[in-house]
Amino acid sequence: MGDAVTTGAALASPGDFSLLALFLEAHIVVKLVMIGLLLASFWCWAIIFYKTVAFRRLRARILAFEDDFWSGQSLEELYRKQSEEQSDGLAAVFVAAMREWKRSHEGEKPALASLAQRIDRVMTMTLAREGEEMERGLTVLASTGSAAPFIGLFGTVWGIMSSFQAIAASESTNLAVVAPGIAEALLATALGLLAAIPATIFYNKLASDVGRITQQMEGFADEFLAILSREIDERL
Amino acid sequence: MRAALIVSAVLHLAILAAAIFSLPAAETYATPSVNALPVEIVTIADETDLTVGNPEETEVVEDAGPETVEAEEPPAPEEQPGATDTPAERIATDENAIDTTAVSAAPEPAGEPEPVQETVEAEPEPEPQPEQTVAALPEPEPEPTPEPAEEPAPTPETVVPSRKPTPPPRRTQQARVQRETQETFDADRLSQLINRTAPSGGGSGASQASVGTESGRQEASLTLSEKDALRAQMQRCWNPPIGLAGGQDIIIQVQIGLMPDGSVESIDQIGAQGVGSLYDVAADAARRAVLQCQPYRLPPEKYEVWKDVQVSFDPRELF
Repeated sequence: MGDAVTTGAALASPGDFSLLALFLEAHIVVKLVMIGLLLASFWCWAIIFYKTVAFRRLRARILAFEDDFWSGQSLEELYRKQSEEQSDGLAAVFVAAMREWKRSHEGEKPALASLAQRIDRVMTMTLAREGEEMERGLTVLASTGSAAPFIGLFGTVWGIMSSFQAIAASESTNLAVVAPGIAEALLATALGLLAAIPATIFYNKLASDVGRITQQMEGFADEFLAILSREIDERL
Repeated sequence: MRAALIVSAVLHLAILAAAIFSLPAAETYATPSVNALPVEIVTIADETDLTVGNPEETEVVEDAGPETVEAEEPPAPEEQPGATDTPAERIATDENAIDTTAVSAAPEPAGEPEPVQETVEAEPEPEPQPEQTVAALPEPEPEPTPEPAEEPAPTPETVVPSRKPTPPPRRTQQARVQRETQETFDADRLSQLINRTAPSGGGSGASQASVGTESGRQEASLTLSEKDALRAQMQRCWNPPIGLAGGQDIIIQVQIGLMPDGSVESIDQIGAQGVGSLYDVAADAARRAVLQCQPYRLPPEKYEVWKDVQVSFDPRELF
């Protein structure tokens, strides 16, 4: 009668549980989720590198320009020097304001009545454009940081679902049947967190950088506008 | 931007490669070694399957001692008509046995068949047997009578001495127990029993196979482990309604007719305890369980026994 007592389903062979094996054995949906998360991580890191380097350069140029601006040299000369090259950051604000100033003095009778408001508007527009340029790409980091864990969780839920179906099919609740599927599924959540954690951290850092740089530029713009409007009032 | 993309790609590839090739795979849990305990697996069938006689016991009978060990056991085999021997062989063994008993035990007394009849009637089961032997061979009829005469006197005396010559290990536990309970010595029944020995055994040698019939095993009831196996096979599919967990007394008894291959031939619900719609649901569940788990794996040589089995489903056993 010994054969009447069946000893469960055949035990799953203890295959290797390296990352590659886990990925290859996963369900197709889980695979797609994992690939998507890897691509998101790749894109996020590219943005992080690019933005970090770009912001450092921008701040260095802003400092250099401020040094130039306050060095006491004539604004006309500085304008001529800056307008020749592709300007960005503070230089762009300065060039826009100076261009407006120059254009107002081109006629026989300079239009000075509302020049200060016009310069202010031009500088605000330039600042907005510069800020937009700086913030471009950061939304990718933000959405990756918030959505990647959920995407990974979706892969995990799907993987666990299919592994439970496998349990039902094999009619055995042996842990050896359950474990590989759940290990594969959990890999998706791990990848989601792997993409989300640096994205969130660097989004916070870069967003605060953008805020600091924008504030610096706005301070310069206000100071420059004060100088220009004093000049205008003297000429009236 | 391109430089950043390249850097990111390189970084990811490096990390992936490092993870795949150098990250250690999960180690298997090391189970602490446990000192081996010697375990002997004994099936309960050996303890409960008592229907087949011991070859030793036939020899004990032959020395005409008061051990009527087999008197208890044969009734089961005797019910089976197919187990009767051919007359010729029966005569041979019968005469052998009678010779030995007559020589060892007593002088020739007057033949009177009456005591034989009494003992036969005392036990209801062996009834058909006397008729068979009477019909087959008339000669033994007078001869068994010597023993009744011997009955009053020699038995107390011969109990000890007649036992001595036989080798002591032959005496099984059963024999001893039976000897205490059974006071009357019934030689006639003994001779009838000896008639039933399988022809293969022959003579009075130790090779005499069995007191029971050759097919004695077929008559044996299912042993406990076999019953458990059957129950376990059914309980796999026994999925009673949830409401039964409430401690209600519902027991469904089902009579199942089985085919030799273990498949279910018929199901009759013979007895049941409990009423109401819940009972109907439970009865249906039991019926489903029986049908779903077929075929059942049972020892095919015992088909006669499990051809019809009664199974009672008790939900309380499950929870």
